[in-house]
Amino acid sequence: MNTFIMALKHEAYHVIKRYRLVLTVHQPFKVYQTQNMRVILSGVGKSSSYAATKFALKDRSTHHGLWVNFGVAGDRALPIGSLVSVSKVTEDTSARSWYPSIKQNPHCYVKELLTCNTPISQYPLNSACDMEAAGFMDAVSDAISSEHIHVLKLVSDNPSSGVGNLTKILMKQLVAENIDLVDAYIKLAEQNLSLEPKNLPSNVGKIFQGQHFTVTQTRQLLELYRSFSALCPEETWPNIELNSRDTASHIIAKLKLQITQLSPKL
Amino acid sequence: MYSIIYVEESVRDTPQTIQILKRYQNAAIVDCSHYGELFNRRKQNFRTQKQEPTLIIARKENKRVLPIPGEYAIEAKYNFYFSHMLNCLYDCRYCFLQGMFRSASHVIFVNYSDFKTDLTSHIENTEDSICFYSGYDCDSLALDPVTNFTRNFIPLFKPYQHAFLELRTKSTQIRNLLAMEPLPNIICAFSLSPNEIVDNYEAKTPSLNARLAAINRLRDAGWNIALRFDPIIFVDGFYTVYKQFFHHVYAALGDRHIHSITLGSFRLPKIFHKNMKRLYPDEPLLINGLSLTNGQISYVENLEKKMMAWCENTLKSLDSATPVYIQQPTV
Repeated sequence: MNTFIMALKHEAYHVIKRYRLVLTVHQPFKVYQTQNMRVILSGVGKSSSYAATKFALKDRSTHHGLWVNFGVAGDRALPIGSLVSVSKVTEDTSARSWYPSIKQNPHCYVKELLTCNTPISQYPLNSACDMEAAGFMDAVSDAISSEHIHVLKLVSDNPSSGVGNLTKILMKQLVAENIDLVDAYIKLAEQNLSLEPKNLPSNVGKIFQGQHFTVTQTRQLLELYRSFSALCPEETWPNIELNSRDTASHIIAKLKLQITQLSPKL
Repeated sequence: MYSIIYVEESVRDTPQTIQILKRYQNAAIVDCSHYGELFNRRKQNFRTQKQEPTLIIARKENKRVLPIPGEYAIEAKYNFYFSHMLNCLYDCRYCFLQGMFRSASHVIFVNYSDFKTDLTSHIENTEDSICFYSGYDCDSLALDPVTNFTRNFIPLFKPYQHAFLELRTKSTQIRNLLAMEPLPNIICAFSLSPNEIVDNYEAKTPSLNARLAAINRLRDAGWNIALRFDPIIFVDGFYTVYKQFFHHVYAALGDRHIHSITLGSFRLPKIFHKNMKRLYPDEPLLINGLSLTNGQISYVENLEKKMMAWCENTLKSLDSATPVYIQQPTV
């Protein structure tokens, strides 16, 4: 499942509409989701973004999807409506930096971003500026593999049309105009996701009914199962003979033996 | 080839950096303050990054020249390695770099003059033989057209007859070498594997025949050539596969002089193996015939002994003149 952390409902409106997301959680943050995608509304500012990201991270089943901070940003040079894949996020107060993943494509600029505490009218020289990305990066970087993390911004204000001109309608309009580009970007980024490691098959409980596996033994069992699957990708489960007296350690020993026997002979 | 290049601010304006960036004018250039911010991040996936590696241009601040473990030495009294680059263009499934580094990004350290100062200091500190290995954390030649590593470092060895440089490679990027005067203290060491291994486990590398052709061109130009059969991989039909392979190599090389041969079976520190299995849980190579002994994952003892003894005997029967060194870590 892909996770979008977005500040405002007006920014998220067309994302929610496009992916037909449904409001499933009201507190502490509004969450809109379907099976493959969710949007968490953080509110404005990096602390809100940090808190919403931490909240979203509690659902570990989402950790293998993309994590995207998407929203509007100001920029000195780019025209309004430009889509930016952010290459570096710097927090203005601490000067700490993070490096989100970038997907280069012809419809998307690559640029650095400065996260400020308040809206600014003096745009930085070489970077776009927002108020959330640093909070998102701070929260997500320790939990999610770096290739899954993206910061996407839509330029909503620049020196010729300052932040004072940014209305709810304009925000919605900008996202609506770029939603196909965002969708294409996400599809491209999804190609680089790491694979979720194989888990024990769901019927393993039935196979070992009555035997107690400690946490360590369960881990060993999983490791052996993965080795077996690597050696015999066509088979679902090793064919080992079990009897009612077999303990968890007997089962593990039998599995180990079977895997050894599967190795080629000199 | 690179669409994203991170550049340490300290080397942004060096001629070496400018020269590299010129080759990749369509790449997004991102400033960073230290390569470790990207390369050593905790949460990264080497396998995913390997699909599309980024380049980091950086400065190596210290520990530029390091001693190698004694068991890896061949002839020299003192042995060191240095890495002008981290990671490799190739994607060999058995490569320990996958388990050692968190990131698959390619790092080029462009402060060559610091490396050269350190190398010179080591060389001038002794009159005994001293050998430097440049292909430990990377392939020595694979990116030579970009890094100009050989042009920069080989001339340094010219005045010192007691100092040797081993270039370890699977690459056929030998144009720079062919354009230079061969030196007797430079060893071009080629890692070779049977076609079955190249096809299955050495993604993106030149074929065996391409490597053999490169070897012959270098040897004919007067360069020292060494053969590195490391790792020896346990495969179905091992004897047949490796017998044909060794014969093929010697048939291709003819009577050309070989500096040395090293042999080593597939082995990994336990922690690297664990990391690699996490990246490639579906890879039989990381399971077949392996066991843990004293913190090292290697083929079960009897298997390894038999394989290595057989390889050594076969090689000696084909070539009794070239010294064969067995690379076996003592743990």
